[in-house]
Amino acid sequence: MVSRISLLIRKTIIYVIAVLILIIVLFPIYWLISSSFKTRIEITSIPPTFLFYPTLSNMVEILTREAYIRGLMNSLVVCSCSLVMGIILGVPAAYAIARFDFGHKRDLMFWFLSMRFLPPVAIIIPLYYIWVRLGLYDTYVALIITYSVISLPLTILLMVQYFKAVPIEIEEASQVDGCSRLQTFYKIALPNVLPTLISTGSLIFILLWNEFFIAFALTQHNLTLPVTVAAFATISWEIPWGQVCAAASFLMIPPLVLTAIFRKALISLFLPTEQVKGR
Amino acid sequence: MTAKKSELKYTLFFLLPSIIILLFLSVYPTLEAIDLSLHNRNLLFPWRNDFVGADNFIRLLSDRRFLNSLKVSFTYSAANVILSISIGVVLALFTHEYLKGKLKSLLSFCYLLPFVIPRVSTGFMWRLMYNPLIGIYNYFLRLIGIGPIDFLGSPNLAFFSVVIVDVWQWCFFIAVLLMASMELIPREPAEAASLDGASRLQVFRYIIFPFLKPSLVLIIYFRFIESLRSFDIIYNMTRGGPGTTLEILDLYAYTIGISTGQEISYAASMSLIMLFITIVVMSMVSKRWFPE
Repeated sequence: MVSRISLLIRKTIIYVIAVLILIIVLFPIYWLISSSFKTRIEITSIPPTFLFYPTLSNMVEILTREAYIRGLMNSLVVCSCSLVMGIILGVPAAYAIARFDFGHKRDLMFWFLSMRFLPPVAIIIPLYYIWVRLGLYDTYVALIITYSVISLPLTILLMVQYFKAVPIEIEEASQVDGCSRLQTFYKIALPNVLPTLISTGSLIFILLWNEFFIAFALTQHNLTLPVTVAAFATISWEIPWGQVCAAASFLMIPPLVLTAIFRKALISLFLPTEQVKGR
Repeated sequence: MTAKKSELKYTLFFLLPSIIILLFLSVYPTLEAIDLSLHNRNLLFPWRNDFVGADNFIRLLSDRRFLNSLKVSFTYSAANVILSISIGVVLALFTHEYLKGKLKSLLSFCYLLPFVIPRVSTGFMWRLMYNPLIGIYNYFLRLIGIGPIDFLGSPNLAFFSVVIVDVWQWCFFIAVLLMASMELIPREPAEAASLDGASRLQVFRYIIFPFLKPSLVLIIYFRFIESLRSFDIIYNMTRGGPGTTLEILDLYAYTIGISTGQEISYAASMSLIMLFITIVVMSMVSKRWFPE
């Protein structure tokens, strides 16, 4: 009897902690999203408004503003171009590392890995100077190429592992059947890694979409969406909270949607593969 | 012989474009930064182009604002690493040990969310909640008779207020990573140990922890390097203020080299210092990532 009660207490405590954790995780996100559907008076009212009749005026205001639409278009162009560039260049490179026979692979892989941990400031300051001198500062081209420092190494590092996981026998069989190495690559290996390529691409898209510092430093008029949103709210005390919340909420949509679809693959970005493979 | 030659041809064809782009984005800027740091170039005075040797680095040593930014970068990262990883370990242990089934998968999904949302959004989210006039935290504080507190405006609090935001963004994701490693720990040793009378703490210390150690060490290093680059969150929450309490090295270099000063040479010498620090940390990582 006593043990049943203590078990019940234990269970209750565990549930209470779990709910508390959920509140800590979700409340800030909920608060931002819900504030974007409040009127100005509801946002600034004390006590805070928990129940309200949602208004779309902030969202409409944001989505009809030219600067925001421009930022959205810029972000879409820059992120997708850089992603495509990373894939077109990175996937063959990954295949070469996984399958071809040459030396210094380990050093090469480490060099790609080190790119992910290069401090952005170390390349942004000189690259700013380089782009200004080339007359490409504040252009799509500069930003797209600079973003490959994110997309390219990640594509290579991840795809090497996925290419290695393709059974080598089917590739050898195709070569016996007379396929060249190039044909083996795009007829046999590529279709086999396509699902992982899609999840890898989605995750890299999240990283590019969220990126702030590079875009902020390398643009002046062609702002990406995060930089546009940041510019809405200057440090002044008069922040148009409704619109800022709507803009910041809208900005969260792509990463949240892609995460919901590709949650498993997200973990593989950050852990050595041997650990993830077991899952 | 010919087969080998054609393989070499393919290797170059497949690899070279990536290598060229990445050389252009990493080695070339580094060389350019070294060149810049040895001159006194300034984008506002383009005709200025004298070789000054180590003058920029000597100036750095006596630049109190730079030394402060270095200190802020390190204390910010250290605070971040310590808090986000210790909280992450506790969260992972709790979720892994005490939760099952749907609740566990719900929580581990939600743990991913703070990590993937753009840091610009995170910045505004917390600025709204921290606001001294309309923020929800100050509302609750007022209910228990405290406040209002200006979380981001007061020099003593601003640092920790921003660290908390960064920790919120990362600790749950670290928990997910650790849980992925915990899944691989065999159950039997821990069960046998508890049957033999080991306490939960002992089981953690002597059985779970040794299994986690490799991924934990990696996470610590990467978290450290990653938090050195918190420009996005700091800029969007306080612009490095109040004063210079949150001015990390990236922010100072950006301010002096790009936004106002245009002293590109001086900023480049700062960025080289940052690069040097990262290389030192990375060389420690490399031994663990690619063990012989």
